[in-house]
Amino acid sequence: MIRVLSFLFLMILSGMIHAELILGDILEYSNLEELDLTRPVGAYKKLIQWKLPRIDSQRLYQCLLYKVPRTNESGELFISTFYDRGCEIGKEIQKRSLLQHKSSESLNLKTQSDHSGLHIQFISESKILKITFPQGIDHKRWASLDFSLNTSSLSHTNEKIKDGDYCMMWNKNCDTEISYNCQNCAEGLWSESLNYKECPSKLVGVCGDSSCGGKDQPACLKMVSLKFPLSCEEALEFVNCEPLLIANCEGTGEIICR
Amino acid sequence: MGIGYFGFFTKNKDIVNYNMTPEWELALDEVVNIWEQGADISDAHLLKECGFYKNAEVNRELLQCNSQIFKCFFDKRPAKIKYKGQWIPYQVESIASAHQRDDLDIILSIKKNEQKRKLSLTLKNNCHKITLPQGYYMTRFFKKSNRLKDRLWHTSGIQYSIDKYLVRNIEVLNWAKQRGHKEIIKHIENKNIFAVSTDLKSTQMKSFCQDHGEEVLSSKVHDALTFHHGRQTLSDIGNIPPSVNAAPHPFGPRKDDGPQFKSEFDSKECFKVYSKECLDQKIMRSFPESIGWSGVAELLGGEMEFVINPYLPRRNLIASSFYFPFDSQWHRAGEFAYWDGRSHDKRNFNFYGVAPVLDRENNSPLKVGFRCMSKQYIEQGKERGDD
Repeated sequence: MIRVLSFLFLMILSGMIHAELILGDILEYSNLEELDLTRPVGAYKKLIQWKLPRIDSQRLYQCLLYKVPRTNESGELFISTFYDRGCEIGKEIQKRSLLQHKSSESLNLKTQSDHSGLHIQFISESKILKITFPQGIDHKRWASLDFSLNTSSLSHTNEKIKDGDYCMMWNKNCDTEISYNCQNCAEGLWSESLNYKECPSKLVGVCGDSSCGGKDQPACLKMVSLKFPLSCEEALEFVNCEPLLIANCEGTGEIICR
Repeated sequence: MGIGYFGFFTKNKDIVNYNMTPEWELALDEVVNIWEQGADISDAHLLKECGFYKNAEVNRELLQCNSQIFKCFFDKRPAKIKYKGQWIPYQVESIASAHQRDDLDIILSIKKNEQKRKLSLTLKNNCHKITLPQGYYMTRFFKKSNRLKDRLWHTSGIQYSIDKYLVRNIEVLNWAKQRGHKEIIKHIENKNIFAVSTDLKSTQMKSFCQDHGEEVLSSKVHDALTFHHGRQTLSDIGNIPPSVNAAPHPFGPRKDDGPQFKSEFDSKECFKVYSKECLDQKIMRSFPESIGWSGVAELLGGEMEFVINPYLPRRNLIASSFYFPFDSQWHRAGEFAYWDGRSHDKRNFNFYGVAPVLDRENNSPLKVGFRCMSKQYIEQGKERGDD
């Protein structure tokens, strides 16, 4: 114990401990302690990926990467910056080396998560590198902080959708026909509905207030079906109409109260 | 320790690297702390910026994640942090937010060695919104049937995000000022700004929520929050339907977890249902009051609440309030009275034979609060991540 402490003390004195604080939301994180950093030789290993705070509407991604050393070459730990998610080697717009070590030296790794974030330590014979993500996986420091601008404040320019028009719809294969944009409904209101012919296991969104179940109105939806395809009779189990009105399956797949 | 880095673009798209120095860390600590914990409203600078908070009675919870309080605290404030004996100035600029319960976009700038650096951030409002877990819930649709099949519904991928508390006067006041509703401003101005807003007409309540990109809470979601979910764990909500015998209150799985089902009134339980007895005996109100299993508060007792009921439009009022004794039927989940929404006189309400006993001399308007909710479709399995 005393030997370890004195080693650490010497490292601090000689400036061999380097610390990094990285702001950004972690997107991808592998179980680092179980990672084999010795093979395959010459390979690049992606350890962590995160997105950086957005500046001038520009989104950037970074990865902590490790190059496994070949014999007589150096291993290298570095941060690369990319325009796109995925951190594809060769497409980086910037690379910054954090630690290099000889292939004959081992590189050890420790992780710890506490109230101040996720801490990762890389220990080589000549250097200790500490990286802290305050927005770490389980114990987020600054839990209410997001390093990206709220996109809702940028969405005002979107075209509004008229009442009665669809704001979300699916085709027979349950693929997107109209992707979800109900937040752009003219009055900000939309109601959920079911199309038993197309894709009864997903909601259909219609702009307008939530009136349903009245005469000539769409039937009120209780829930989507887990089963698909669905007969009209089966579909009626999932909807409701006002008393004295009957839910009617229309040719279009809508269910209307008549 | 604490030396770090991040990269970003300048206007000419060159990447600039600089150290993420401890000053940023310290400033972020201060900013996030004021956001999450709320600023002290007796702070001299805050009162200078926003004098209307002077003498305001408020509970701490309402100051948390409150964009207006935050702005009042930081606007024009010469904020600084001390690092290694040196005072380093920083500024927080808020980007206008329409709703004080919204997320707030800010720009944090730190000036050091004649160089000013900026960081854009969003402070997320984790304090005033509750998300209904995906799964099965009970309500009453058109049918009076008590069969589970007729009462069951499922969230089916819609994420319901609900105000934790009823809307407050201060929020209505801000909205009315933006919209130029002079009558509302005049009516509210001299009231306790942190009290529940109880004087709006139903159309104004709807406009308030719509202007904030939301809608008035629906009856089926109110039912989901107010019936106890009745399952072993919250994760069971996702795949096990509730029982029709679920407790008709949100305080626990058993019926007698609710004070309204006990044989005698107990003033110690006014924090669950603030009933007529609590008011008559002048029991101090607590805050937050009437918190259910979901974390949503002010569900039963206290002020009445207006909801949207597309299934039974003449059942749109949660009558459970301090107008009724503790054992009244109105203090049960799934019970709705009617309010025409035009005014707050007794004649505008229909309590279907179980009306409040009001003093003859007491002609004061009946108080009706409201809250907003928003809904968003979240495709199953898709998680928040890349934008």
